[in-house]
This record gives sequence, C-alpha cells and structure tokens, in this order.
Amino acid sequence: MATHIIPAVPPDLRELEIKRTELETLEVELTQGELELATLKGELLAFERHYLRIVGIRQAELDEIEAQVLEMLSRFSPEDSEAIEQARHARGQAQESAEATGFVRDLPEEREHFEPSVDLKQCYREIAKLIHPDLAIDDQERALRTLLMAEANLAYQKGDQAHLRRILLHWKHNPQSLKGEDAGAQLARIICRITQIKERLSAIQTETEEFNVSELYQLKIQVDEAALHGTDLLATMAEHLDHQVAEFRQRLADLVSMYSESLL
Amino acid sequence: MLELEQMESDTSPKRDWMVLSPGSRLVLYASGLARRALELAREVHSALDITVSQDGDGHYLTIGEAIQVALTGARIHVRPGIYTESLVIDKPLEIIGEGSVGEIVIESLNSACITMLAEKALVCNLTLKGQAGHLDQAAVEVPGGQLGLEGCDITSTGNGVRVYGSTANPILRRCKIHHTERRGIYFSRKSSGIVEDCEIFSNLNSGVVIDLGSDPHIQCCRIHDGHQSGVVVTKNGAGLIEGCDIYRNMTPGIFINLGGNPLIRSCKLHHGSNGIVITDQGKGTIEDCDIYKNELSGIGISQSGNPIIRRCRIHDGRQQGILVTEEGGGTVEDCDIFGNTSPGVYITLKGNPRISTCRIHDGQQSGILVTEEGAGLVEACDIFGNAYPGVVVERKGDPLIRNCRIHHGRSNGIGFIEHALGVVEDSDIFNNAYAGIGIKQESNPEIRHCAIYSGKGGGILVTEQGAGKIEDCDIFKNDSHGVAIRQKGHPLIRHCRIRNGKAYGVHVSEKGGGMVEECTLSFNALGSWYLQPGSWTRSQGNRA
Repeated sequence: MATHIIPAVPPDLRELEIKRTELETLEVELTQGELELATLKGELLAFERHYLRIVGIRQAELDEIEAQVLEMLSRFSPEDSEAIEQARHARGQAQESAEATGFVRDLPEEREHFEPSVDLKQCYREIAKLIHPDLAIDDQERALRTLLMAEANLAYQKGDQAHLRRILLHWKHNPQSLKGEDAGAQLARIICRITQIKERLSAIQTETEEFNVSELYQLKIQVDEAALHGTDLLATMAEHLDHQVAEFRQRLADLVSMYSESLL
Repeated sequence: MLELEQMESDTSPKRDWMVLSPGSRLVLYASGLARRALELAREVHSALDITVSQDGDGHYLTIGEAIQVALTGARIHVRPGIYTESLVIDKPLEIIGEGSVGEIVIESLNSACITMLAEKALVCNLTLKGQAGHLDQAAVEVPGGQLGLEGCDITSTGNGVRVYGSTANPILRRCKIHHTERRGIYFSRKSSGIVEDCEIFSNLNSGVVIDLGSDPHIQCCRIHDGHQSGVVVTKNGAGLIEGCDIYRNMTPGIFINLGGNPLIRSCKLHHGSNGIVITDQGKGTIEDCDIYKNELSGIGISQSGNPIIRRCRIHDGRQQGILVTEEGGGTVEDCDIFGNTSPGVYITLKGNPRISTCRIHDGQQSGILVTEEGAGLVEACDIFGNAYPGVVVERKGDPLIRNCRIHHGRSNGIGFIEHALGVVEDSDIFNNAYAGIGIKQESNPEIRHCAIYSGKGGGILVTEQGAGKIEDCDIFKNDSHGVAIRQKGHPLIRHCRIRNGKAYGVHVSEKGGGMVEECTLSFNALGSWYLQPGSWTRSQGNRA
C-alpha cells in the first residue's frame, strides 16, 4: 500500500478556506435574497404606478372637490367648529392625494406588471454578487459600490438589461475590484464580510415581511384575486369614483349657486 | 431599498444605495393613502356581489334596485320569488337565479322582462314571463350588446326574444322558449348571435325568424310543435342552422323566401308539414340533413327558389321527396331520396332544377315525375325499385336525363305520356318490369346513346300516337320485343342495335307507323321483324 504524504496546511489557510466556503454560500444567499426583494419591490412599484394612473388620479380629484364642498359648507357656518375641522381635514387629505399623484401624469406609460426575464434576473444576481456594498473593504469602495448598486436597482426595475451589463463591465474594469492581499488580511476581510452579509440577510427578511403585511401589498392581492375571477377591480373602482366625482361636482355647483345668491 | 415615504415601522438601517430617482418611489407604502385605497377596494368588491331576496335576507328586495347600485362586473344573485319587474340592464353585470328555475320568476307588465342596453351581460337560471306592451315586444329585448342567456325559461304574450340591430349579438344556451303568442326568437335588422342547445316549442308564430340581413347561428336546438314554421329565413336573412331537430310544426320546418340564404347542416326535419320550403327567390345551402315522414313534400322549391341541396336523406314522406314547381330551380346533389308516397322528385309548372348524382329509389310512385312544362337536368342518378316508372315525363314536361341508371322498377324505366318531351342520353335502362321506355299519347322525346336491356316487358314501347326519336341505342336481351310500335305510334328509330331479345326485334301492330332505319337487328328469338297488316312502319337500310 502506497503511503501518501499529505502536505500540512497552515492553520490560517485552513481557516481561510473554511471561511471562504461559508462566504461563498452566504454570497449566493445574499444575491438571491436581494434579487427577490428587488423583484418584490419592482412588482409593487409597477402595481402602484398602475393604481395611481387608474384610481389614484380620480381619488385625488374626488378629494379636491370634497374639500371644496366642505370648505364651502364651513363658510355657511363659520361658527361651526366641527364643520371647520372637517374642511381642514379634507383639505389635508386632498393635499396628500395631490402630492402622491401629482407626478404620475408626467411619467411615461409603464408596464402594468413587473415581470423580469430570466436573463435580467441572472444579470442582476451577478451584479449583486460582485458589487454589493456589504462586500466593500473601505468607505471609498463602499461609496462606489453604493452608487453602482443604486443604478443597478433602477435598471433592474426598468427591465434595462443593457444598462445592467454596462454596470457589470464598468465594475470588472475597476482597479479596486482587483486588489491583492495576504492570507491574514484576507481572513479578516472575509470574516468581516460574513458578518455584514448575515446582517443584510436578516434585514432582507424583515423588509420582505413588512412588505407582505403592508396595505399596498394587500391591495395588490385583492386586485389580483379579482382578476382571477374576471373582474378588473381597479377599473371598477375608477368607475365608482367617477360617479362620486360627478355627484360632488353637482353638489359643489349647487353650493356655489346658493352662496352667490346669499351674497346678493 | 426604495425610498419609502412615512415608513414608520422601518427599524433597519437606511440603505442609501437603494434610494432611487423620484420616479421609482413607492408613494403609497405605509401611508394613509394605501389604507384608503384598500378600504375603497373592499367596498367596491362588496358592491360586486349582491343578493336580492323578497324575504328580506338579501341586500335588496328588487332586482331593479340591485342593478341600479351594481358596479360594472357585479354579480346579482336572485333568490326564489315572483318579481314583477321590467329590468333594464345598462351596465356589464350578471344576474343569476339561485335555486330551481321555476321558482325564480320575473313577470313584466306591458313591457319586456329584460331590456339589454349594456355591451355585455349574463342572465342565468330565471323564468321570464313577458306581458308585451305592444305587438312586437318580447320578454327579452336585445337592441344591442352581447347578452348571455343561460338556462332560462321564457314565455310571452308577444315575442319570446327579440334581437335587432347590428351590434346585437346575444348567446342563448340551454333555454326554453315556448308558448309565446308570437315568435319564439326573432333576429332582425342585421343582428347576429348564437342559440345553442335550446328548446323552442309550441309558439303561436314561428319558432325562430331571421330577417333583414341577420346572421345568427342556431345550433343543436329542438324546435317543435309550433303553430307555424320551425325556422323562417326571409328578407335577405342568413344564418347557420346546424344539428337541430325540427319537428311537428304546422307549416314548413324551415321556410326560406325573399333572398333568405341560410346554411342548414346536419339537421333532422320530420313529422311536419313540409320539411323545408324555398320560395319566392329564397336561396340557401342544405347539407347532410335527414328529412323524413313529413305530411307534404320533404323539400318544396317554387317561385325562383334556388337552393343547393347536398348529401341529404329525404325519405318516407307522405307526399313527394322533393317538389319543384312554379319556376323553382335549385341544385340537388348526392342525395338519397326513397320511400316517399308520391314521386321522389316532382318537377312541375316550369320547375327547372338540376338533380345530380342522387339515388332515387323504392318510392311508392315514380322516382321522378316531370309534368306541366316542368324541365330540369337529371344526371348521373341511380333510379331504382320504384313502384311506378323510374321517370315519368308528361304534359309537356321537357327534362334532360343524362348518364343515369334506371333499373329494377316495378313498371317502365321511363314513361313519356300526354305530349311529353325531353331528352334521355347516355343512360342505362334495365331490369324494369315493363318496357324500358314507354312513349305514348303524342309524346315526342329524344332517346340517344342509351342501353336498354333486360326489360321484362320489352325494350321500347311506342303506342297511342306516341312518337320520338331513338338514335344510337343498344336494345338487347329484353324478355319481349326489342321495339314494339302500336296504336298509331310512329317513332323514328335510327342507328340502333336491336338484339338478343326473346321475341321480335321490331314488332309493329294496330296501325303502328314511323321509320326504322340503319339499325342492326340480330339474334332475336322470334325474328327481326313483325309487321301486322294495316301497320305502315317503314324500314330503310337495316341489317338483319
């Protein structure tokens, strides 16, 4: 039986290897986690834009007219503190709706659903794996990674794969991505990265759970479920609001007329 | 992460690399606006599912109220009860009867039960009893839109369902439309729609009427016991009538006139007056139908009616299989016409059809009767086993019969009587009980290039002043004379082969006349010629 001589591995290097393996596993988890979170946010963003276009704009219009009606009513009863409070509250609500929807009209028409392709997801995964800010070794590098990652997120949500590829290319040509280190320094850096990644994974989980219980997400679920039964819930909500807008407009016109008469 | 406005619950450190442009902010997340949106969605969703009950355990007592508040796409459930209402559907919604259809009744008073004004709606499982406000009014009025009507029971003092206008396109499935005092379903003014698996019966007028350019599909329906026709297609109406069972209607199962042009396919028409009538410039294509046991003709064509009839079985009628009269036309192809009490095909009064590749057999009278100046082309038909002559031509009837087989009849193969005309060419006439061809009473047909053989009563009999021109025929193996000329019959027989008969080749008696020229007479058992004294048939250039 032949005797093999197994070369001894220095303790630092063995530790480095173990940690590197752990890091690799965590990096995979991290990129997948980031991808899923970014996808969820992309879906919510697309849904919200769609909602605002179909319903939000009408809601803002209704809030505005309702505020005007209540303000008109409060003018009829300047002593009525409840009416004044109602008008004030309605005005606040109208303002909030207007702010939320004001920018929607100027946005280009977007997709109704966010449905990233397999290639797009793969590209994003690669970027997250290489550029994630939690992999930075110093503040300067972190700043660069943060910038690029933000850009990558935007490109991902727009489905802009070409831009994602440009970011990747840019990173690969960045000298900071090719830094050399000795074993000890590498081990320290890997341990630091592992800690950062674990923190980030925990944060991703928290954020995902928060999204899932949010009212916006619940609204999306309700709309999706209605669609499964052949009902376009957003269109129906819009129709409902249109009726209300018409009613409040009429009411406002009546009040304006009454107010004018009372001034004569 | 994305910049989340007013994200009160965000305890994680701010991820500034996720902060994007203003266009990609989630503005509703965790805000009061999202809460309001969700509440509105829930409120709207509840207005999409409404229950109507007369017992007070629903959202509303009347269906009309429910329709008024319903949002687009709403479903209104109707519990059992008698609802005296006239419903106007002016938005897309569904009205669904819950329970036994007979217990959920909508009764109108002097108006329609349902008037459809929306683009699309669905009505299921209701009994609709219409009391019409005017003559034409229906229990269900569809002036436009796609109304789905499923599993409903519809009666009316006017029409059952009235569909009119080019945007009207209802779909009726599994409905019963019956005992109306006018039409069951009336498609008018370029309307369309689908009627599928419905039962339309006992209506005082016709079951289905299609007029003024309407083009519906009537599929797999049972249309019966009407006091008038099963289906009427008139005034340029069209439509597809497919897989229907149409029976026991008092006037024709299907009646087509005035440019009506439907496609009728795979239907059964039976036990009615006529099966189908096409008249007054009616058209239509009738394919693969089974038309039987009708009191009058299976198919009647008159007054420039001009249908195409293909691959149909027309049989066991109490009168003719097909009657073509009063200048009716049409094309009849590949049909099986048999067992009818009167002639299988009856062409009269200048009727002029084309009958092609049909089997006309086992009739209780003749296979084809052409009379009263009837004409027509009969080609490549197989005519056999009829009780009277396979073909009878009489009274100035003048058909062209070509490439036919006329055989095994219980009388003559072809009989020309009472001033009949016509041409028979390239046909085989054989094995008939009487003479293959009989010509009498001043009839004067042309027979050419025919084979006339194995007749039990001879090849050709010309009698009672009958005439005719018989050329290039092969007359053989007949049980009696090849040609018999009697009672002043006077044909011209030319270039024929008269052979192998069991009696004379030519037998002339009782002042028979005419001319036999350039014929070959051979191997006839009793001889080539018999000329009774007093007869005067001339012979010229014949070979014995």
